[in-house]
Amino acid sequence: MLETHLPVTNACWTPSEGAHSGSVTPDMARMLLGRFADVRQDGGQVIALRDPLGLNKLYAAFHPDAGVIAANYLIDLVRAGTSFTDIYAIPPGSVVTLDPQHRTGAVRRFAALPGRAGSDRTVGELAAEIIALLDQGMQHLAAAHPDLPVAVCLSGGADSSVIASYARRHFPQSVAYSYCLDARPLSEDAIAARAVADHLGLPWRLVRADRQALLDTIPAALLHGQDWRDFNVHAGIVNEVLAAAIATDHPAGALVLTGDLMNEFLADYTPVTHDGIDYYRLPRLSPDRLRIHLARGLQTGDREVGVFAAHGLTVVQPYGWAVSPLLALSEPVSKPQLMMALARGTLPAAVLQRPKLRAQIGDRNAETGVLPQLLRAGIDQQSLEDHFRRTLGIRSPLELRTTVRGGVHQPVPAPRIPAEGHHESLTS
Amino acid sequence: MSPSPADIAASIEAFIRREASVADDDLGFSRQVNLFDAGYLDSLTVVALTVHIEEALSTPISDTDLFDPRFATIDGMAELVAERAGRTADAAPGITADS
Repeated sequence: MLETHLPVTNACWTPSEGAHSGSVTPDMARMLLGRFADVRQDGGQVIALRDPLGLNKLYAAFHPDAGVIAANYLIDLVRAGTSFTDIYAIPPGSVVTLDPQHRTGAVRRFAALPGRAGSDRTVGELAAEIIALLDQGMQHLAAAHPDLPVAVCLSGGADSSVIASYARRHFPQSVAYSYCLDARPLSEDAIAARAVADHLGLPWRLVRADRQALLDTIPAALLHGQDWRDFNVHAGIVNEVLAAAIATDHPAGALVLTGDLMNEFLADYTPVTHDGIDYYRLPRLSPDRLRIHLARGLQTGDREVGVFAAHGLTVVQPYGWAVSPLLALSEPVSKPQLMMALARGTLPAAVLQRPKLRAQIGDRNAETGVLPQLLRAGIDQQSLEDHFRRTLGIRSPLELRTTVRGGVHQPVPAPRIPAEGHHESLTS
Repeated sequence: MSPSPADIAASIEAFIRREASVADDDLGFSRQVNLFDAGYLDSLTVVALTVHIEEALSTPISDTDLFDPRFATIDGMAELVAERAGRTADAAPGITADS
């Protein structure tokens, strides 16, 4: 009736109950902050659920012999004999009752993103709420994992630097890890990361990888990052390099804190131009709409959770706890003002006001990053898509576009009479 | 009053022509062509289109709607949007039904 392949552990908490890493029931789901996914058999039904942002991936397929097969990784369903086009995603923020007989799923939403970002709340109010969430979450994590090694992925940008400052306070044994390309002079980001680690008093571990090492990670980045789009694959490659280094240092596992998700919630990404071509393009939307779109897109692609989990590491993205207040910030958002408030005087203003650099680029001239290195090796967007399709047995580009549209993996078909559900806005 | 399917189709067609840079003399483009198969819609355009439909036609497009077979053509989208618009008009204010 139910076969599961769920190696990715849950990492979530509630203000009243503390950290939670076990199974999650539908009743618990709306209370939890963080990432989780769960599937259980309940009589003749299979109940599946997933966190509001879809940070933990959860796919399901109907199998003629096994009933429902559920997995965190697409490859496990493919290996179980499922065609890619027969794989469905459990929608984020949903409890889905799967009916193997009719091959449908009744969706009940317990959380949904707002239509656009912003609110009438002040930056000061929202910053105070974000600070409280970051502190509470880290306190709960520290209490639940007192002996687990803690690594902080420190790019040198403001987002990861602020997370490093919280890690320093709540996990004094933390070690900062930064990526840099081979033996060249340090990138701007790596130099900044070293300065931040020094300032905070964190031990700093520089992880270098040459072009061949980057190329060698592509299969793993595609497989566990579960995406073919260059912006996610390139980030997944950097994470793969860092994850391998952290896992080598801590073979029994570690908690990995990252500054991911802030870029989505504030939409402070910009396209990158290399050799006259724009990469990492974004849809043309107003900032308040783009922020919601980028947050919504987190449900597809696994560049961080999937990549680190494949190395036995538990990744924690603290900004995800604060999705509601972060999306409630009204446009135009002053990122330096926000980060200054969140840092609470622990970091120099210059760190918090640095222009945004993508971790996979690492330098203003875009020569030391993953993008130019892959392009020089002939690995472009089409190559990545081809490789991804071969990995998952996707027979044509059309099959891929049929199954994943607009950054959304196809949901389970609804029963003929849709179940009505109650929506609870993430910003309510 | 809700817009007619023809008005909706015209709005969607104009948007796609502009966003996807469809040439006026492109004979392959029509309101019946499968926009995904023919390559007129990529992931970025799909996102922008859903926002256009929501803003210009006051009809939210859910993740499920993206995979409705009708969403592959302009005429199908117009039918879907007209159907959703009717449902939205009937719904009680402040309540969003999941499809």
